[in-house]
Amino acid sequence: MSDPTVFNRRDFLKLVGVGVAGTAAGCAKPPADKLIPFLVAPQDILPGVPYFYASTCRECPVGCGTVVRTREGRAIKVEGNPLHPVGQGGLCARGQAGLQGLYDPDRIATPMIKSGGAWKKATWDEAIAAVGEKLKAAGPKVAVVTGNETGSLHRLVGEWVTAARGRHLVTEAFAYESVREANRANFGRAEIPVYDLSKARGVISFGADFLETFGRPVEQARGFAAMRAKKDDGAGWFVTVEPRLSSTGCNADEWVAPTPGTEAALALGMAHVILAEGLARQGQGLAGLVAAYTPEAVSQQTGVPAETVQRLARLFAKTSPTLAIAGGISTQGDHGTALVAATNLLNWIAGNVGQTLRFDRTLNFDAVASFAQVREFAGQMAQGAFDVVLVHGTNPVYALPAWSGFAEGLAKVPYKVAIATHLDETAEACDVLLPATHALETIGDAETVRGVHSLQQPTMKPVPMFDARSAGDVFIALGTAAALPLVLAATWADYLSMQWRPMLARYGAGRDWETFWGDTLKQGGVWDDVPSPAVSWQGAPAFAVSSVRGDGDLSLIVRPSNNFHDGRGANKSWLQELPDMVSKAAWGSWVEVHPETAQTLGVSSGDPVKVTTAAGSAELPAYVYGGVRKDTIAIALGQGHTAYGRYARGRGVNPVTLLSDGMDAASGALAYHGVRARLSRGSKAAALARTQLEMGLHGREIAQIIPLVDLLKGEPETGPEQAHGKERGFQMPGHFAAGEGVHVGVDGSMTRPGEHTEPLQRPNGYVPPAHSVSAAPLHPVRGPRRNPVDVGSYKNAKHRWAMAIDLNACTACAACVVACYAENNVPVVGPDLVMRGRDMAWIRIDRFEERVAPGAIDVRLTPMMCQHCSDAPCEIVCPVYATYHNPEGLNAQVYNRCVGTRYCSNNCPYKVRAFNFFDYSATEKPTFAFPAPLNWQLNPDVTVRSKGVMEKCTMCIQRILEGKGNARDENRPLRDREIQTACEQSCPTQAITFGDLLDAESAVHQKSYGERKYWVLEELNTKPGVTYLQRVTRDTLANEAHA
Amino acid sequence: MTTTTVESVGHGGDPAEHRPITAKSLNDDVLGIIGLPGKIWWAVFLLDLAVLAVALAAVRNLIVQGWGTSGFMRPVMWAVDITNFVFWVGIAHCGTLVSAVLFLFRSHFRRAVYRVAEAMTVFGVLTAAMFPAIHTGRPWFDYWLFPYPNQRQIWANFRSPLEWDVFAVNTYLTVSSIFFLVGLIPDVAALRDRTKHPLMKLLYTILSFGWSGANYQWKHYYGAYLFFAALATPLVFSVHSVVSWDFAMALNPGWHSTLFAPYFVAGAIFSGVAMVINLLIPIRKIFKLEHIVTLDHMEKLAKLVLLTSTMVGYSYLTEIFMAWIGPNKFERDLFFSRAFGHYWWAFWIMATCNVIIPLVLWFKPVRRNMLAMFILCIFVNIGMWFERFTIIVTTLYRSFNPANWYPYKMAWTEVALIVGSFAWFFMFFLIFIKALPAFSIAEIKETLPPPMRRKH
Repeated sequence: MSDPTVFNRRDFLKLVGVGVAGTAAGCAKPPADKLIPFLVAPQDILPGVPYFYASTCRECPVGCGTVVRTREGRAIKVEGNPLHPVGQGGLCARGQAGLQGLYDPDRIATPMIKSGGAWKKATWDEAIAAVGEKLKAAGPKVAVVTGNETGSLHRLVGEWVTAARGRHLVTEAFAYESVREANRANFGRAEIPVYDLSKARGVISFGADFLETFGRPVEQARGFAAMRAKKDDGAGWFVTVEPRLSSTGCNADEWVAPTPGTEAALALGMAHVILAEGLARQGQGLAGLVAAYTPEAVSQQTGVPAETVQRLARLFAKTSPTLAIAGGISTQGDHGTALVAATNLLNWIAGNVGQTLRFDRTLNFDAVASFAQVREFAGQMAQGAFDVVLVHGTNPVYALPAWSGFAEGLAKVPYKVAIATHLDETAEACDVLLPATHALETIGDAETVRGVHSLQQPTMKPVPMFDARSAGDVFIALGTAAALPLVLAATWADYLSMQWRPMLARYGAGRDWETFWGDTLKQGGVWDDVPSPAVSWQGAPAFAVSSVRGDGDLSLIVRPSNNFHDGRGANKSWLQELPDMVSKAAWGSWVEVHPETAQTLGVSSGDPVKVTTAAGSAELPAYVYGGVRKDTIAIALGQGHTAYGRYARGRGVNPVTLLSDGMDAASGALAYHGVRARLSRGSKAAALARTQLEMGLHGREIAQIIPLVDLLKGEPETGPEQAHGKERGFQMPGHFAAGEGVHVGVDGSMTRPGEHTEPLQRPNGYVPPAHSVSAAPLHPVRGPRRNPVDVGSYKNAKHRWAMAIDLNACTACAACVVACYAENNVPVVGPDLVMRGRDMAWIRIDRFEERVAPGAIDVRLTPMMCQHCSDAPCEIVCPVYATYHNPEGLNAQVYNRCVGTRYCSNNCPYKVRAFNFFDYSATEKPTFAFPAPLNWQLNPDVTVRSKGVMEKCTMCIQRILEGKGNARDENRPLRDREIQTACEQSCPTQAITFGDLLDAESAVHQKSYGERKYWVLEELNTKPGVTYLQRVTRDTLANEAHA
Repeated sequence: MTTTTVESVGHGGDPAEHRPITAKSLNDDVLGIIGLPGKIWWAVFLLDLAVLAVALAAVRNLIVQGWGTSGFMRPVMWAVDITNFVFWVGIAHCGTLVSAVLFLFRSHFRRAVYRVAEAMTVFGVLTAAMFPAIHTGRPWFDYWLFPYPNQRQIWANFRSPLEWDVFAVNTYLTVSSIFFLVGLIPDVAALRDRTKHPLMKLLYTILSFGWSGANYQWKHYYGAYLFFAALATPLVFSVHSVVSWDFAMALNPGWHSTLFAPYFVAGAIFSGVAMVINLLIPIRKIFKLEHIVTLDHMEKLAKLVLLTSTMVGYSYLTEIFMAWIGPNKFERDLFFSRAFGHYWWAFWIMATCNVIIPLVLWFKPVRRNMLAMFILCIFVNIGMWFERFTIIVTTLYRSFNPANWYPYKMAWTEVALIVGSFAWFFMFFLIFIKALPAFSIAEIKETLPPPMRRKH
């Protein structure tokens, strides 16, 4: 252990255990308050050497396996754990931002007791004693409200509540009641199934935002990319059925926009067609169920043409296996269960159940109460059923509408205790605050997925400025103080250890306890394969479509946010600054309005509008979006906090307040859609901080696509003239079914065919660049693709670092953006500066949308970062060589040398350079971006830039150096993919590949010289080091013929 | 003693122009301006300093707080700073043209106007040079742009057009200052002989380099003057060409063009001459020097404005035509957006002021109407400022990737920079008027008939 050279990133798991021992032993009571510098360094920890701890992400109920990188005793980066079955090495934006929860400057620092409406600081002993007294007095009139903790904490709370003879309520904003209820009714399993997209050859989603929040987004994204990578004919299509085109739906080949709430009818119509045409693989006897749902009837109800229903049904049934997913907001109507049941029927008759829809490693929502149960609980609170309520890890006062009665009921409880990290809306309503430790500094476990027992490892000593205790310890202390008839371990860690003892017999494989425990911590948990239970169709609830209530001419959709989930991520500045992938707006709320609706109202993006429903009204900026139906508006959840912290409070609107009374009677789910709304012009000068204002591609070839049929043809047999003669510019990925089913190609290019472009071998469908620099094609302007390594100073170089970005895999989940903020100390600048175009992101996701036909849009997403050009325009214009080309092909930026002429940015065609307009690193300035202890997260390997210098993507040069150093120390050549950039590591779909272009065997070389490659703005001859792979589009019309 | 007028004087209608000039009256008229300033001068000067103080506050914000206090953002990383730079370099252009090029061509009308033009050049360069210096993110490291031997063994990047700027501007400042000071020698000597104030006398003594008017001095003086004129002439074309390459060498549509060098030079002369007219008209009016700077002189300057205006207009049309006929879609989109996009008003201000309004100069009465000329030249300079603004901002805010299209909004600090640059320039000019001869006595005297030849 004393030899630092044995460390490397690939083999980190070998080393984790030792670090674990020290930290785990010290986590209950930190021996010293100072984490850095190491005045007396623990023997096991070497300064400058990163240590990795396997843990479990607690940012949402999915619980992906993580690996936390620590330096000198501080957690600095959270990454996916490649060994862990949940997440499989990917981690979403919310998971990446978990660190900011740990170092949040607004965490509760000490226990506090409310007296006279104001919070007063208290000691732990005082607070525990005070609560203990109340608990004693309350007797059985005690309730504990928690989030979906699962694992040992769930059991501890359970035991605690049983001993107190009280009540334990588990709440989650998205409890997926309708999914569970429908699966119970259809298959006898009240569970959220596994959607195995990787096995599917086609997916139809009924409003499920399965790449954002629904289900297990990271794994589903990985599966989705695997499905989209399928190349055989007819494979990998994705049709999305939703009234508002979600970020997930933007990846689809075809968008079908039914009348809001009628998705179930469309699914049943498809089932009708499949059964009627004898395409079903099983369950032919179920035809009677859907007899009423003829395509014509469905067309009447949904507004989707009958031919589309038939076509989709044939497409769905003829390719196999396929998958129909219902989830997210579409299942949160007053007949959401019926929609899930309808898709279950589709999956059943298409033979997908047991293949792509399975019940093996299902998500553990067993204990989560439905909204109806929460409401019932709220009623009990209001009636005085409880004298003491303890709340931990959930924020129902914010997340639930006022008519649920939760806030009202809680207010009637005489004594409320919050065991919380933040003073959120629910904690604000309590009488005592007991600061809880963050998941990253607490030992714990979770069983979020059946058969997967994840361990949550403390990655560092608790941040000393917060006098917090783990929730488990607090419950143990409260149990003792209240003299509950309960025998618990002395500490939470002991309790956990006891809980895990039985695992030894099952998973020990002959190891002793110490070895088993150490190995398990290193691995992140234990898991075994869960056999997929055979399920059969057991019956269906009554089918119906969700209704839209109230008056108004618009249907309101309240949707979860990719950034904040149900709102719990709102106090993380990375997530606030991360623009929404649909509107590219950050730091606020907006309402998505169809262009024609906006035109009628006379508003454009950023103008204030007022949304009025039966429940209330809210004023917020409009965002004009071609991806919502004319009769629909949409608002994202997550903003509009009245408490929680400096980044969340008073920002945007909480659309839950607009929801009027509505529930799914079958499952007890809250109806997030189904409310009518009116839109009027607002009065307040609202402002929308958008990082991208122009969504049109203007015929420029930044985001390229290739139809699958062209890809399958391989190299073009035709000359350039044919290629030029084909449609260019935007091509519709599919077509718009809700109205005009026309296949329109819009000629966006104005280059005259054959005249200004050279005869260059190009795949079919290749669209010639609009910009060509020579009028006479005597010499090829863009010669054969030149390896950027064989020119100039690269001749003697050992590496040429490069990247390949597969647009076919990218789903715009934006995990890479947050990962980059975390890895590279990118400052967060806040809404005012974002509005003035000063966001500092090193990697961003450019979004382009084009109206290809009336009502239909084609969305293209391109991650954009420094292209590390071989002939970089920025380099020649820098007067002081602050940006220069290093021998390994990187476009390096020397902050120390930068004078700040900004010429490099002006000359960069990709505009990927960010300028430090203010001193974001100066503690005394108002622009300081890292208020303590957020500054603890800063990566010590990366400079924090000062005012007046330019910065940009370095391809994580610190990681390159680390990897090279490790290889050198071990006296071996670098291995391919040994070095991973932060964006690449986090990418759930592995769309980003980094590596050495000089290594012909490397993955990046294969991709950069393989099919679908192109360079963005290739015609400028910058010879980028980042190669993009065209997105493959599938024509769902053509597929029908093939299948 | 009979009298005569300066030989190049025409026959205008203004009786003031026909005031007789003698060697003595010339000395008195020109040197009489110099001396302790009066109340009006002080009022103007203090107002000027007040404006400058506001600009300094803005500069303080920009440097101390950061360039975030400006309206810049990605993608528009240059705007008012470089617009001002190019504008003032352009203004500075005219002096050398008038004094050196017209001297070589023996264009005698220059004699009456060149001193003001030269002073304007020097002060214009001083104003212009300030902007590249303060526009950087870390101006305290500006000296890194100079290739000086250093321990770090880092050299400046000679491939960067900004580096060329460093040399072009410094060379121009040096040469134009020398030219200005050399031209001053005989006049300052005359001033030295009249001045009573000891400090001023010392200053003039130094600046007159021991001039006694001896024959050999005149001989060397004219030799030197010719030499400097020959040296300065290429600079007229080089400086602004180099400045234009800041843009032309970049690959942005709307910048990347071979037209830029001649286009910028023409524009620079255009704005410079207009500025000279703007300066001369009040001076000759206030100090009653219409007989020295006659309407004929002014008309010749007006013709120069007209000529350069047509050159600038031709350049605009060429750019647009080339964008339209060429294969480059980016460029075509850009020129369309210049005229009809977010900054259409800047484009049309530019086109109106620089091309359309100067068309009235085809009419002689306009050229000889000083009020009309004054207003017109102000329009020209507004137009030329907006020309640079259009070139810089409209190119940057709509470059290759539409995802980066982001409009730029000017902040108050930048408005202060614009106004402040004028205050800075006029501060020098106001001092100059009161301290140095604004007209070349020596050269004008050359045109007076020698006393020996007078008729009895």
